[in-house]
Amino acid sequence: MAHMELSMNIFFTLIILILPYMLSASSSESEIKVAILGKFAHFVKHKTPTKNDNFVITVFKDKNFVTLLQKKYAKKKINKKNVEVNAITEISNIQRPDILYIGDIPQEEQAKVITTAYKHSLFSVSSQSGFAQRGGILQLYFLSQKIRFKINLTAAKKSNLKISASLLSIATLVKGNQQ
Amino acid sequence: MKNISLSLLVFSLTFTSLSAEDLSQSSLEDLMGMESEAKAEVGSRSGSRDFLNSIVPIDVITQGQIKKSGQKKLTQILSYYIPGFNSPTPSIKDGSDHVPASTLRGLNPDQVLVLINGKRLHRSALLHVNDTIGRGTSGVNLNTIAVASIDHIEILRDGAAAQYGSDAIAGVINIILKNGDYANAVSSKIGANLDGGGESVQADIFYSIPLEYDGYVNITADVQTQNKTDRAGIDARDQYTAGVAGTTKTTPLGQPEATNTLLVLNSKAYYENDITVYMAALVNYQDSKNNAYFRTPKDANSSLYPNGFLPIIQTKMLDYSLTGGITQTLNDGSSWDLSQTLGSNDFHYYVNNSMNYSMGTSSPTSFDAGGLSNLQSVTNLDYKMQIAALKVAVGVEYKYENYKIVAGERASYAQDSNKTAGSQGFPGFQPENEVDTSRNNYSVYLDLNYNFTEKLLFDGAVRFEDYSDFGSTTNYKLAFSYQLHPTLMLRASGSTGFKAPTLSQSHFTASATTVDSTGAVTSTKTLSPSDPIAISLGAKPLKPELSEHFTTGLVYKARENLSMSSDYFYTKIKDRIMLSTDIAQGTGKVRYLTNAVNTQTQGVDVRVDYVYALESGANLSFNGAFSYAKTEVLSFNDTASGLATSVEEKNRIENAQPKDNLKLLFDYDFQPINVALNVNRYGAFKDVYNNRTYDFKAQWSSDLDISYAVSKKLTCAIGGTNIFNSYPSKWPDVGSGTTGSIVPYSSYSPIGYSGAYYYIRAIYEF
Repeated sequence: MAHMELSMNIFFTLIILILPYMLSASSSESEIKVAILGKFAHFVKHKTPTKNDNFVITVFKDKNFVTLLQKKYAKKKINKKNVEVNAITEISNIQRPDILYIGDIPQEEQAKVITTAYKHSLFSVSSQSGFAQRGGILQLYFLSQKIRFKINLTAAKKSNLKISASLLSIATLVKGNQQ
Repeated sequence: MKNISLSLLVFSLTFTSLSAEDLSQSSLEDLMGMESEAKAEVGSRSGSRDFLNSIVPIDVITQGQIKKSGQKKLTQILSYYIPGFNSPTPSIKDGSDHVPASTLRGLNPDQVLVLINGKRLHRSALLHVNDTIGRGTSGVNLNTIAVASIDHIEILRDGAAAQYGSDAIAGVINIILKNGDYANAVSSKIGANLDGGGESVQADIFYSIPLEYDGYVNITADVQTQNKTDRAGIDARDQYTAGVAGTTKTTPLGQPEATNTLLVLNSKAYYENDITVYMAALVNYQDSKNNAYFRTPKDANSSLYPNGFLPIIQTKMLDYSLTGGITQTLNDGSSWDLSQTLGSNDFHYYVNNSMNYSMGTSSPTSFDAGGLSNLQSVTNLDYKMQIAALKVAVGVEYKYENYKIVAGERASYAQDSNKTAGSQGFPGFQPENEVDTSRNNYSVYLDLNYNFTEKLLFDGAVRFEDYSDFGSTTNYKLAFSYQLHPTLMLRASGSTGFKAPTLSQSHFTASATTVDSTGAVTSTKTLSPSDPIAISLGAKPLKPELSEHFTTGLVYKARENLSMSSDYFYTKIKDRIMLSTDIAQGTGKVRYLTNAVNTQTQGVDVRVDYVYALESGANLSFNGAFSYAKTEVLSFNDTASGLATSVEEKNRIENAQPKDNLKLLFDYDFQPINVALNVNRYGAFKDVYNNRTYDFKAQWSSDLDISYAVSKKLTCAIGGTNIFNSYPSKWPDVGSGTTGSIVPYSSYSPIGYSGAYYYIRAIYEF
């Protein structure tokens, strides 16, 4: 019992010693995805820029992601514009957002959304497996808890998107459908 | 002191939780270098969750941690990170030397359920029958899985039989294999023990073949060899002449000499209509040798071995597990999953450098002593759907098990004269021991997960099981979590559980006949509970062990980089199965397995995870974990078994495993350098000799791994386990020629007794 008390004391004392030095670090996958989404705006340009007053992020069928985006980008700016987050559940309701984020949806529906996104020259992003190879522009994923992304460059070019070389250099490039 | 510490802690956390970091201010590079919270699927069928938000206590060993530990065996990785995980390495304990028992929270090896990608892994065929941790049980051999194939490991520290069925009493270990996003890699590790022996060479390759739409076929091959260590003392038994004690070492004591070959295949393929086909195959072949006690010239009394001999027990183990499945997500978001898992463990004994005394000089010196095998087949159909905030999972499962004992060659058990029968070191299984028995069971389960509000989450589960041998059981689980504050979560769960008696417990038998110098014959038999002799002594068909669980705790996420959790747990187990003491029967002794004892286990698990980003760009992380688990015998059911009065057996339940375990892990990451230091403290334990209890002190041990990334593809490392060469405390002089002399250390020692082990390793990605 004496050993146990000693261990506990060492344990708690160590905790107290390190507490004042806290700074940065681990967040949930969703929080990191939300944060990185805003960064892509600096590296991905539309050849025919959108005419939105705000920086518009439209989310297709992912309520939780919408809530988090709205929370994290309230009072924030991307490309010097206020951020507007929209949620849609019908692809026909899409306008021309700066980023279209697509939740996990059935393949058949995903194909329709990708086709629509392609027609509107949208920068489409999703975390769903196979998204980039199926014609989506950018697919987010986590490897060893670190966020990574795949880019379908052919689909991006056909969508009239210009992706900076610095972003491409840290992405995994995939070949696949480009509608 | 503790109260002051706690007060300071609360103050510090209150103060520090006031400012939350804004990730949107981080650069793209920073975000890509940031580790997300680990996610875990175990404990709920409603999908993976950040483990800190889990409704029940879960630990996750991440891919980064697996790499940084430098360890290449799964039991070593679990020992490295999980407080309360105990995997002693006994020696001169027959089969238990080769498949050591591993436990959680001081309970039995078979009270932990092991899953691979969420699918049940089969047990080892070996039943531990010697005086080791887990005597009378068959656990899963965790070292059949190549570490290079593993993505991460989830450890549920709660009862979960209502979700997964039998065995999930102390917890569940879910091993998730790598997906197709990992780079191909080859790695190697070479090391040796400071005090001699233990030279080991390990090499593995991980190769991933990409399939369409992020599908993959991953192949991992791993080869490991290790030499024996020897930490024995002097053999003080009479050697040549009665009354003249030995003064030299005769019997090595330490880890076995072993060669291990492991193959893992993990694959996922995506098809049209949201159909995914998956497969996982694990194959392990282990050839392992360790010695029995030296047979003195006086006892051998044979011209075959005029100077005595050291029997070598060799075990050859073939273990495989194959899982195939198909899953589909339907348009309404619901999904179904049909899978089939087939697992087998074949464990065969050979005895070399030995003899059968009763055969005299005509005795062979090598024997096939027979073997054991265990087969398990599980078919599962699972359906998941969501109705508003309610997630529902229902499923049916069918399981078939088979257990066999195969007799050894005749010379391994024969008695051809009035001398001791069978191969010395390990007498072979006899035809009367042979068994080929099966059972099946089906189960139906329902899992519910409901978000009452954003703050209140509820989990419920019920599972009905019907076994062909002992009947049916229904188990329940209720759990909730409540977000008291954005940084503070309360969680609690209550459940019932069970562990079905294994086929090895119900059907294992073994016999040995010894003849002493006066010619008196003594037979020692392990009987099945259905044997007429066992029944005459009071044995009954084995029933399942039944358990009740309660867990409650707090999770405090002070900041993005600091989290703490503290959980209290209580587990009550009724009818725990134990091997009886040796009971006099005629001219011999018998023993049998029985639902002997009721116990309670309670304790706390505390953990702290912290990452500190230095201005230089380096990351300093700290993980602290403490586990305390105390098991007490409430009552014995069976007086005939002799267990109620056995000091040794009561000690094995209550005091043979450390009650407390502290782990302090420090990691300094400043690429290209990474330094990982793990400081461990295992609490005191007790062992028994000749009905007297002896105390063994708590032990500190430190592991260190320093790696350097020579290039983006090549990383080299140097490190060691138990780097300060710590040894457990020794047996005092107990007046035995073996315990305390040949065997200076208790077999219960949680970190073994081979001392410091140093290594170099390298990994190359391609």
